[in-house]
Amino acid sequence: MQSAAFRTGVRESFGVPGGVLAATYIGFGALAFSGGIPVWVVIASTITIWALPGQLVMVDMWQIGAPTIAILLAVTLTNARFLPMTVTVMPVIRDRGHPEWIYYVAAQCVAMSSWIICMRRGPELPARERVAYLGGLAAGFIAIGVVAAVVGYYIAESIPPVMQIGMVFLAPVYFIIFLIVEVRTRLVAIALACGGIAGPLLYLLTPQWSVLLAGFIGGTLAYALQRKLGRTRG
Amino acid sequence: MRCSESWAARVADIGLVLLLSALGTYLWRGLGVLLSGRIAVNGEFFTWVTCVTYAMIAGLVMRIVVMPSGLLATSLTWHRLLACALGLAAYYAFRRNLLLAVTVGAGSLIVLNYLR
Repeated sequence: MQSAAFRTGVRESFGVPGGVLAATYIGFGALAFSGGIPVWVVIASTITIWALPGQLVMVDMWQIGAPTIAILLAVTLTNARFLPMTVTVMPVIRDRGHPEWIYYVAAQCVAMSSWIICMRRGPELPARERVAYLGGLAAGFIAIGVVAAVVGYYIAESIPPVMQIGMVFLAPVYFIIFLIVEVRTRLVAIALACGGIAGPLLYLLTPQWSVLLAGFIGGTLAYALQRKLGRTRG
Repeated sequence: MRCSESWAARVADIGLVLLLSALGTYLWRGLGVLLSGRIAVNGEFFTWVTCVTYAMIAGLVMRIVVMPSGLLATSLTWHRLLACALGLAAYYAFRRNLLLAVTVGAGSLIVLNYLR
């Protein structure tokens, strides 16, 4: 029963979201190759971090020689969204029949792709099977991510720079489009605008700290703006 | 750049960065399990966290598009911006297909850069 739910999860990971994931991880692999990152880091980061924005931040900052502490803070902060995501998925997957430690393993499965699907599909399944389902879903997605990243890495190595440029552009163009079309609230729109302007500007000032500062300054500015706008409205 | 360092130093360096990044990421996931049912996720703190997360990702990708390093830097800025716009247009033109949109975006940069 548990293994059936796991298999259902794996099967459902090979759909449209899996295809998009593959494209972005092919891009990540290509980007990592062009940045001189070893292939084992591409594989290990996909399994252990399992969050493309965080992986991009790590690879990009390491490449420009940012201090380790700046990379740690930036990656940790970009992935802070996993706290509310895990908190909200827990009531969906929790079942008394399972020991508590299972959920600390399942937490590693929480990423944007599997979280969205699990929040929607989870309630349709028997409570006991949901953890296994999430595990299967994440296992499928992670396998797709690892294979795609390695494929992207070696394709980038073997094709001429004219083609390689498009592959390196896959992940950035994905985020640009995804972030623009996924804007649901004014808050997110303001945060994207503030960060999008602050990022390049701060890069001119301090390349090594720009990602961290863009998030911190741009995000805080957006938060303050939203509060101010909210007050004048309400 | 860190090219001047030895191979072993590079491996140790990125290994440490990777380990810390993975731990920093798991911190939130583990805390999420621990705190589920005990904290409200729609409070002010999480609103701020959302802002910081979006701003950081937007800041990084905008910088990569506007001021790239490495291979992307050999393409023209307006080509990269146009490629993004074409990808976005494809998204809305073809029933919100993200996979197609990304392919069009990356593909048009190859074509624009080739035709230069």
